[in-house]
Amino acid sequence: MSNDYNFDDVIPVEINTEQPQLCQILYDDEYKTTMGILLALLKNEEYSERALYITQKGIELLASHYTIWIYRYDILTKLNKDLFEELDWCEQVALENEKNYQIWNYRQLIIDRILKTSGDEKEGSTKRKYEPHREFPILEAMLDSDPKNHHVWSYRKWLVEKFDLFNDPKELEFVDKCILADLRNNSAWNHRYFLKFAKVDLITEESVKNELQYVESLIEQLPQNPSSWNYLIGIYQKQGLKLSGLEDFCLKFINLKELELNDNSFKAVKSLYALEMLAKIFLERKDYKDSIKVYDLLGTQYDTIRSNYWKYEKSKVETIVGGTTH
Amino acid sequence: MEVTSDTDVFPFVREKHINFIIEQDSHRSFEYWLTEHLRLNGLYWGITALVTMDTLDSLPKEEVMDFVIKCWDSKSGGFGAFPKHDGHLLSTLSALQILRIYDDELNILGNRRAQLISFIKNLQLKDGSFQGDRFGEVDTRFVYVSLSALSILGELTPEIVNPAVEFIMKCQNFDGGFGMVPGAESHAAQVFTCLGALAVADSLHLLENDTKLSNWLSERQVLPTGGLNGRPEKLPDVCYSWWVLSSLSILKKTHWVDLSKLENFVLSCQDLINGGISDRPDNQTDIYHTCFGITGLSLINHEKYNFKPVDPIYCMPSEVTKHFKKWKN
Repeated sequence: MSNDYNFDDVIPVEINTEQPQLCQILYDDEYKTTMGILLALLKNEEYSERALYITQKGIELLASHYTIWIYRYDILTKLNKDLFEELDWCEQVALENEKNYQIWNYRQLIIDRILKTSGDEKEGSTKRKYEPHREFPILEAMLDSDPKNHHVWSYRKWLVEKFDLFNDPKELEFVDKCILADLRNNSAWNHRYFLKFAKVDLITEESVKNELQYVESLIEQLPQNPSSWNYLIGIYQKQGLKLSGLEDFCLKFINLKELELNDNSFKAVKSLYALEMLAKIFLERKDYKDSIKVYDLLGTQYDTIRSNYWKYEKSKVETIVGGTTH
Repeated sequence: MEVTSDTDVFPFVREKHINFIIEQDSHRSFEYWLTEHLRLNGLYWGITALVTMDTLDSLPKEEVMDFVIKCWDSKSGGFGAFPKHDGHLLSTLSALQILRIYDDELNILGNRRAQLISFIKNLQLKDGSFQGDRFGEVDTRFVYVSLSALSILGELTPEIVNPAVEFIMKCQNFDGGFGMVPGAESHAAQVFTCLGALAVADSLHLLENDTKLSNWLSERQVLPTGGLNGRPEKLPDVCYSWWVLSSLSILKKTHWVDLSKLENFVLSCQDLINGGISDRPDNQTDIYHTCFGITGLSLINHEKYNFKPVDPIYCMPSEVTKHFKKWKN
């Protein structure tokens, strides 16, 4: 199977001969040979160059086979291989297996090990230092291809935490670019929230003001966007701001006069999120009648598929009204 | 996009689905061996679909149990996805769920039981989270899987439950949903695992006044199809008929989505000729979507289809789970 290494002395583990018939599988020969040798070496706990090679073959055939990843990691550490080379190799595998997530966890392990082993070195060591920005091109390539790839974003979050990139200009520039490329990219909004609000000591009056301006301007560009509204409301809740501060902003998307005059006019409402916020603002300032009216409009005209949710919100206001008048 | 109007409802093709599921395991194609790492999960999906349709005996019990036991990895103490694979939490829960559906007492575990319990418990980290195996991947899925498995085994203790609950609550986001780890984007499948974990831990009171979460879940319904998606602005997918609806069911808010529109969406994703259910109409069917389409329909209206009721917390028949021990502090 390979000109590079010799496996003549290995007796491959027989794949799929003894299992019950229920889960019999017809493997192709390459898979059978590779996995057979791989499992045999694993069983013998062989940590060698040829074992490393066979894990590569195995991963090329079936990247989601987590046993192979563990074995490969063990081989690397026992042979003291160049871990930077391993990171390069990983990138190729990632690009060829977009949906695979084992690889990102594996990459974390490698980086952790690089950090740990370079820490062991004496001062003045010429050993190569790890630089977190080396991750940016591969992450950008992955997110170019699938801008909402859950595992890649999650890995990116890990990187930010690990190397304290919360305020890193390149990181901020990247997430900004993702949002502007697609205002509906919820993953990018989530990442921005993480960068801006996960660390309490980074939150200042100034930064909050900037973020509010940022998100409000992007809501104006696309008023019916759940991601940006969640971001806006998230900031208000986190900072304990009064919702009434959003009244004027909401009214940019709702024509109150038309809403009252013309019951069926969808033109009156450019954003259901603005309308819902209005109901909450009315409630906050104890304007119960108007709050109930807006919830009614939402449930009976504008968002009928969720009429039960709107009824529930309305009933909460009605309970308060009942409680105050009796 | 194809729209299913209320007058154009597809029939539920029960017999064809049963055949589709049985055929899975004699279906020895190239694609099939690629899913080796999911085989035990696949078996669980098939069995759950069958038992929900009240036809568990369509698969040979002895062979199924024999296969599950062969997936036991004596080295780690957990179950692997396939014979000779390393033990992993995901396949361990699938194994326990399958065995428990057949065997109330789990006698078949024998002296593997103690090793199994310590395999699960040893994967818990200091912050209360769980890693999937010794490889170190952390994800709220693994918290759910561990608590559910320990609950099936009747082995939950406050030392395990309390830090796990604390970790789960750290994973709730500003939009009300839950993610894989603290700060990770909300995702409906992760919401299910977090709610399920809290439910098993008898800690749902922590979300008592949380309409934000239920609201986020109800916003997952997409028009015009009526299907549910997993995140904002993503396409609807049959599997969320389980992840979202079970979550709403745990929160007692299934009526916050339009159930009849959702039902029609699931029915429209069937392969009416060969059986099986796909993620969206006219796509390739698979056992995963078949399972969660059927369990979703059971949550919507099990009587109508002569299904067994499914427990939204465990994704197993309610008649099996009713004796499970949830943690009472």
